[in-house]
Amino acid sequence: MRIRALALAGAAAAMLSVGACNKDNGGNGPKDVQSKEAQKAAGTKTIAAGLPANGKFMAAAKTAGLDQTLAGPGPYTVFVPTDDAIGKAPQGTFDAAPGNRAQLTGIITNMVLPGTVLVADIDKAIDAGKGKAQLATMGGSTVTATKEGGNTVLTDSAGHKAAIVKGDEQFTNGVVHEIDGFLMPSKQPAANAPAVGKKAGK
Amino acid sequence: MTRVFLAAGVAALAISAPAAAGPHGGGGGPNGGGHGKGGGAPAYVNQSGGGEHAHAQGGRGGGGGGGAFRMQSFNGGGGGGGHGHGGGGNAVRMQAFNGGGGGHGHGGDFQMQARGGGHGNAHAMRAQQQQRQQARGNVARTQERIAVREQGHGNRAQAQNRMAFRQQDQNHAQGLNRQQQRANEQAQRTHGNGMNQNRFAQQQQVVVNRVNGRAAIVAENARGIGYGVGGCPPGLSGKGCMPPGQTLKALRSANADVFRASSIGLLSPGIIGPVQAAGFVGTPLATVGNYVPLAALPSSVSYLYPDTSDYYYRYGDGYLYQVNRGDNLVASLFPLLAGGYLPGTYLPQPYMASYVPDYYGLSSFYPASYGAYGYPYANYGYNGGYNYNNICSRYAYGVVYQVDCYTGMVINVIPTYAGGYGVGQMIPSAYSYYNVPMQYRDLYYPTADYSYWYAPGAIYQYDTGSSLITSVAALMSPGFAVGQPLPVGYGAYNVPYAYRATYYDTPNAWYRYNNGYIYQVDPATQLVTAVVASLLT
Repeated sequence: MRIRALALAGAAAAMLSVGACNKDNGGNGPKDVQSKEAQKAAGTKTIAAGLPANGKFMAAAKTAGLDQTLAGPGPYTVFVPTDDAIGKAPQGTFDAAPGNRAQLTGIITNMVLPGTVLVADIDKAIDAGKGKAQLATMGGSTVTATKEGGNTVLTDSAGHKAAIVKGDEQFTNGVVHEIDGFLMPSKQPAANAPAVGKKAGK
Repeated sequence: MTRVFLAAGVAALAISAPAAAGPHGGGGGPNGGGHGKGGGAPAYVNQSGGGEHAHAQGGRGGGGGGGAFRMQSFNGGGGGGGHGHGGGGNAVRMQAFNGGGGGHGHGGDFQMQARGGGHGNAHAMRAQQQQRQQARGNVARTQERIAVREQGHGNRAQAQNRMAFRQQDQNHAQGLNRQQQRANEQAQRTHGNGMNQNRFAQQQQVVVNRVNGRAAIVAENARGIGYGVGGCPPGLSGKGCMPPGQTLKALRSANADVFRASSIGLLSPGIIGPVQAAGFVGTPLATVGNYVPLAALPSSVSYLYPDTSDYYYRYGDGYLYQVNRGDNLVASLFPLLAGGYLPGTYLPQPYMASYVPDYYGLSSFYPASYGAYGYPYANYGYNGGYNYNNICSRYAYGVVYQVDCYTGMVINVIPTYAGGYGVGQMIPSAYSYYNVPMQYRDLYYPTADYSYWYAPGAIYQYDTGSSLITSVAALMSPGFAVGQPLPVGYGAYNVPYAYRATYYDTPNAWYRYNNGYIYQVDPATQLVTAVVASLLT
């Protein structure tokens, strides 16, 4: 009888420990980050699920907390630099370190567009814009699209260029275009951000 | 056999303990203490204004919440904290993160206006505060102000009292909650007694100085300084012969130095300056511990900073310290509060003229100035400061600074999304209510552990215990409004697949997607002409 009681106590304690571990471990991150409704709206093959989990882009997205964004309903259009392109960026640019989170947030959101924009849509806008089209990014700036040698090329405000090498990878919550370079946000985060000390209106 | 089972039980409990224990000890971490159970009293609340600091507590079991200008709750320890849904004054929280269980105030002026008093917990605490004030004989003047104010409020005050008593009755019925509350208060007293006494003394000094300063100026005004000696212009006789604005300015001038000194003194244990923090790099962790209360990381962000065989991490006073396991020296630090100027420092004068831009709707979300009801300065001058905008929003390089309009002291640092605001940072206390746009509410709704908060650029998911952002749930682009020109950058067709068969560009109509809606655009005028579909509702 005594042994049974002790066994029950031990089992209860073990269950407590498991419960506690469930809260904090198992990756030690929040679970069910997206609600069931959001998961359903996003579908099964989201951008986050479709991109290589061990790729440099997703590592950077995770650091910035944007992996859950790309697993959400969207829709988003994401320009994803190849690992080679990321490797050519200045040292530390894409470091998946917590201290680099703010920079990564700015960089990645500068490569995300609202909605679903196919390569054909960009090309059509370039034609309508007499050779170039401005694309508004989620980071608050714009990138310029042009055609060069039959390729669709994106240019950021600093002059970095990246060509779309593999376009229109479709997912339930948007589309991915692989690019062979990286795009950087403008130094000022907002397009019309005021200079320091200048009154920018109320 | 018995020993085996005993050992198993003890071992299992030992394993569970670190996971269940809050990182700040005291019986409740950011997630510990549960939501709506503890009712831990706020560890520290600056009461110097003597105004209506609504403390959300009891009732639904929430602790913390509301409160004016809560500097730091770490030293309160203990408190199970929880999730106080209680209207309350506009909380200016500096470091609720540090709190023993935190406590999360869903309140602020905006909520009070929108919901007409929230859930009523704040009223209960207001009544409690009145009782406390009565017990303190040395703040009679403050009582007087409150009394006058309450009289002015008439029926509202009576209704609040009724609600407070009702709430207290509920608390009677909730014996367990009260027990827990007493335990928390006990823990709080024992935990940070010395520090709190010191703060209390400083606090009282501020009150006394303010009261004295105000009395002196009122006396001067009565003697005729201001508008004409020997008589007041009609209409100003009841206001000390001086226009309310000038009166306010004079009052602040008389007390600014005292306030600065005492406020910084109060803040110094809560948030340290970047220069001091940087000086800790290379020093032993034990040395840092002499200046900064160090704790393990909250579980909501610890996965971002996993301990390795080489390093482990500690958090304290706004910074994350990376510690070398080999020698226990601080290897590096990461500020968890972004921006170049931290709360408690002064924004340089040129920045005071740098307003929040209208891009992304930032300027409407962070107004140029507004009146913070519970903020200490609001209790100065004419009409108790009710009509005075005492908090200003300013902007520089992607960061919004909420500052005291008069002194320029930084109260909140809010980087905008594109400025790097995100995971690991704290949602600003003044905006900590549920404000997700309607079309996204079915997707992002509050749960027991997490809630969502919208700010220009993104919908953030945050831990309700620690108020730290845990992920970016959705990115938001600047919205369209019918009648506005199509913004630059939307020339390309971007309608989602499922809607392309219905909404495709023609010579007479374009269609563009933005933030859950499909808009129709006139190609000729480039004006947004209609919202034609909602994808989320």
